[in-house]
Amino acid sequence: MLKIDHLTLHFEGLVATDDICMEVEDHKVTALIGPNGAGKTTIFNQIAGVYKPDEGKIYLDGEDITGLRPFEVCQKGITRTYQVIKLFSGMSVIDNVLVGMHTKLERNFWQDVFHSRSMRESEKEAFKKAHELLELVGLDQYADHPAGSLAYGQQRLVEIARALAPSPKLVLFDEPAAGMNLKEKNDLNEMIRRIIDMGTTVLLVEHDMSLVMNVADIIYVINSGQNLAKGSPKEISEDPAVIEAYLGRGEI
Amino acid sequence: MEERSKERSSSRKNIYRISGIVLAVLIALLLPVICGFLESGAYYLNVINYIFVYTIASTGLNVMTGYSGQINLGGAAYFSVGAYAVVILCNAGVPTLLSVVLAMLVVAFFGFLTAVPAAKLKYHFLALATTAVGEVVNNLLTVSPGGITNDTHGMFVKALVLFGFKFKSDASLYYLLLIMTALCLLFTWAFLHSRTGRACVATRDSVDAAGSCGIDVRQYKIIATVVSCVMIGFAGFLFAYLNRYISPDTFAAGKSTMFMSMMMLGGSGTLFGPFLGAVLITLIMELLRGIQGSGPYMQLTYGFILLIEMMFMPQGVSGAISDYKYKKDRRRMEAAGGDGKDA
Repeated sequence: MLKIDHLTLHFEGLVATDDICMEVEDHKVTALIGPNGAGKTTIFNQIAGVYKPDEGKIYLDGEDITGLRPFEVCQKGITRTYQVIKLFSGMSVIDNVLVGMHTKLERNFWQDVFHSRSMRESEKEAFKKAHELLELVGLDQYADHPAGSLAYGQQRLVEIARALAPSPKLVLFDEPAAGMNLKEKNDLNEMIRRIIDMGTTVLLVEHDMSLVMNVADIIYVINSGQNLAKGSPKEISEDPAVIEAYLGRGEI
Repeated sequence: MEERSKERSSSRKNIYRISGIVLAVLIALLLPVICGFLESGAYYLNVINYIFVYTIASTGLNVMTGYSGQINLGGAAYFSVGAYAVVILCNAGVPTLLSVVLAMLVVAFFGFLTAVPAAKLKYHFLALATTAVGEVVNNLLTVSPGGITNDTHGMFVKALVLFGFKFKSDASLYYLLLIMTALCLLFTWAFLHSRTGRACVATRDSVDAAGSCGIDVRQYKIIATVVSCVMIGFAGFLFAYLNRYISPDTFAAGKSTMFMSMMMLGGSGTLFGPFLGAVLITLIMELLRGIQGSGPYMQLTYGFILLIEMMFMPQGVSGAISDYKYKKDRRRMEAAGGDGKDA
């Protein structure tokens, strides 16, 4: 699905990502973990087109998508959520999801603005799908409420529904569990499984180890912008290098 | 049981709503007749006509500023270009309908020209740039190339003739403006409930998230600006035929501020906000005008009202109402033990 090849990015002399290589397989949950400041979100931002890597390539299904702008990356089939929630807070919850479907709706400006028949039909389907997605994340009863009025955990769920709206090939979740309570985390766990069943591949950055260990098929560990380890949850939890990166070097 | 009573209350609400709409439409249709019986009815009708024109202009501004989040302090520029373009074309002998269409194309092109660089600007930079556009256009009207705008003398405007009908009386203009205002609001509604409109609103709330939803932010900022400018320009055309006289002074920076105040007071980013704002501000101005010796205090009062509004109702009247509605709704849902899904 996604192949990251020797990705390197400097910020004014600071090496943010250094020769990162990783591969996201179809229909699997890949998790990206590492200590704070390891460069996880920076990798996300390079995939999503927010930053342009200095060196290295990113391929989506063999197609080079390095250096595309964010909206072009979305058009290629990659959507994302944010570590710090970025909702369209003045719009209703369902409108947020409909904006997520932007790339899939009627494209002709005049047909769209003057509500032609084909536009109304595509709109009807879009609403149906948006309601389904809101049901998936358990927020359908808030469909008409302004997104900004929801509780923090719920706002995260709206972001997830919005990211899933265009039926992307790959969805990037940046710390989806942050700010969620235990029940919401369990729901999230189940939800990610259902997203995989829907045919979308998941790449997530997450600090909550119990969630990662439960949900991930493959885990990549990075530290100080470099690849540290790769493996199944079991392998990773027993890897001495990973334990050292997380717990620190024992110096006696 | 509860279901049924809920159903009944919602059907009763529908009846209220429908009868409210019917009543409003009836009043709107009969207003000129009612005004005919009043002592200063002609004056009232005239004021109402201006309210319609200002509603269209501030609705247009609302598309750019309230919905798409780009401030525009040069609204009067597009207003005047719309007005002057139609009048100049008509005077040159172009049929009225054609001149309106051509003039709107001129406004659209002018809007596009300003939108392309403006889409890269934010906050006070955009405010400055749009103010500059307003000033430049006003100066161009005062000292126009070849004197096509008749400079400071201004231009008198003949009565509007459409399909052989002469819109000379306030009553005939009233119906024309009523229909135009309704169409403009309908168009705005349709625009906002489309993929394009939603994308414009999305860029207001989060440029980053809009990008990650596949929206080319720059493109949609430009679209919002052009749509907005055409609506403001259209209001300018109607203004010319209502006022029957246009001059650079009629389109001074004060008009830009007025459109902005109407939008803010009524509620930016709401469909009926600009209408409410146009009603309130026009009425306030007219009432103040009526008070003897109020001249020096008129602007002061006006400013004071806006200040109070920004402090206590930053979302305007319309925004405050819908805010209240949703808060009530949520309280009700939570009280019903409804699945609040507390975080």
